[in-house]
Amino acid sequence: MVCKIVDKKQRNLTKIKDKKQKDTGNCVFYNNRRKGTMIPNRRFNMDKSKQERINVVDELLSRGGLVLTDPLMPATLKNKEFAHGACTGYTFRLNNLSYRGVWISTIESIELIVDEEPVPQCDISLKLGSFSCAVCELENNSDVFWGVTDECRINVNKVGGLSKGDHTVELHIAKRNDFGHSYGEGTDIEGYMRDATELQRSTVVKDKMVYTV
Amino acid sequence: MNKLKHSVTLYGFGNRYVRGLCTFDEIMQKARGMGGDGIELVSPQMVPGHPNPSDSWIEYFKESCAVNDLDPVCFSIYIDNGKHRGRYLHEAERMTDTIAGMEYGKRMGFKIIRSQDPLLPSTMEKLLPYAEELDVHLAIELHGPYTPSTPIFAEYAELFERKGSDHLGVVMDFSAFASGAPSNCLAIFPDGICNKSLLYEINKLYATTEIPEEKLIQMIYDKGGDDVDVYVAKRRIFSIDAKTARMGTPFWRTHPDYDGFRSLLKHSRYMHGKFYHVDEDLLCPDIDYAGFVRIMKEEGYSGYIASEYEGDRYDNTVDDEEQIRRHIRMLDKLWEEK
Repeated sequence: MVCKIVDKKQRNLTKIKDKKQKDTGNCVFYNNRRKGTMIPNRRFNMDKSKQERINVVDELLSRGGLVLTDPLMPATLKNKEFAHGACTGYTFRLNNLSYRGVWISTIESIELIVDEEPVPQCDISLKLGSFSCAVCELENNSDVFWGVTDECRINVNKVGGLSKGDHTVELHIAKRNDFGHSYGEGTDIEGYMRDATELQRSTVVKDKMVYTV
Repeated sequence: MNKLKHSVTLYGFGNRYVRGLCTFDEIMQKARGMGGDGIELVSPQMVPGHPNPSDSWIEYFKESCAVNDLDPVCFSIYIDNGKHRGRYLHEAERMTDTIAGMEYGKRMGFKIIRSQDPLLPSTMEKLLPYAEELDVHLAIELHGPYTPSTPIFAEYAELFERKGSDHLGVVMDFSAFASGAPSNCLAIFPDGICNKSLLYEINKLYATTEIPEEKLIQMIYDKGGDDVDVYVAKRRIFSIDAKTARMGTPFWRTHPDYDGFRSLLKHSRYMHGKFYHVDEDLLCPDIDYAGFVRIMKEEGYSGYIASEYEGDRYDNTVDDEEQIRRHIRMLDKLWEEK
């Protein structure tokens, strides 16, 4: 199910044509770029079953409050090309995941699937300003803060890069909360395991987009 | 009677700022026109280089405040207990982060530093000498689902009473005193998913009466609703269930904690006037502002109240700037009523 990005200004800024996809049962969503949230298309099927309606409710409520749910930034994928046609891979930008910025160490995993093929973890790194790190090592960097306006990129090693044409990029990010209202001392591991469910449970944010190289 | 002092929290513009739809300069200019006496800044959200802003940014911020005639009032910092997988922060980490926040806030001109309850009362007590030396008011936010009677806030209240210091206190957020779910809590659902008009009617009854949930559910069926409407009501309207209340959003119906609010007022220099919607008649149906402002007047409250709009969580088609202006007008109207 493919929906068009509604922000014409954004679309006209680039020749790259991205298509945002969100498929939640039979309900179609489009990306409201002005406010930056996925909002429902009101032209949905009026004959939904009860289960289909409940699925829509669950989907909408699962997005949480101000947590942003569309990490893939449109029109940012490009091959990393050097002189004489050398190309070491490709890169794209991420939207921030929070209303207030996040600690990099709260990102528990980043999985990337390009054209339905999982990308090996060892080939994926995250770049934030001068900081760069393999995605599997992020949780060890507890003093790196990703501010809401900081440019953050995913770099993928792939000699030759992506071929010209459309490529479907799917991203799954598992992240736990930066803060919460459970409390205790760092030494109280037992108390943490018992009470801090809000900090132990990571949320998986999924996004999918077709980029054109 | 003194005038009620208003603050505009820049957090209210955060959604647009994060999306790159407005700059910090534009936010400061907007805040200037809102009718506030001062501003609150959420450090990780809008301070470049957080948690260690540069000297040049601090100078830029102070100049911006001067140019826009805005008084820096409250600097908000966090206790980020999620940083390390498998454990809370150690006390040394909480202290280090909080002292840094107090020092940066002070350098930016802020007088109140808002932290969070996981700082812990025993640690806050150890930070009192630093707050005294910097001459700032270190305050803990009391945010829903917690209330003044939640055990950890009883511990904080004991600390405030025992120390009797103007450098320690609480920032009460009105989310802790909500009667019912936000009056726009169903805006997220497309037409045809649930019977919105019926559920809004149920929401109003939930917030203003003590009719048991079972009877409200029966009412949904009696008025033509179905299982999906009941499902939505349980997830979106009735969330006082004890199992979820600890980390959910409990609504207190006709008995929000007025007494607890009153007892903590003497330790409060700033509060978060959380709201989700103010209508054209300057009424806020989800939170009994009239009742709480009456208590503030009776107790001679002389601090600030920030207009903290969060209705965009539920309905992002509403004009948020107009909502903040209405909230300020509503508070002034209630403050001036005899």
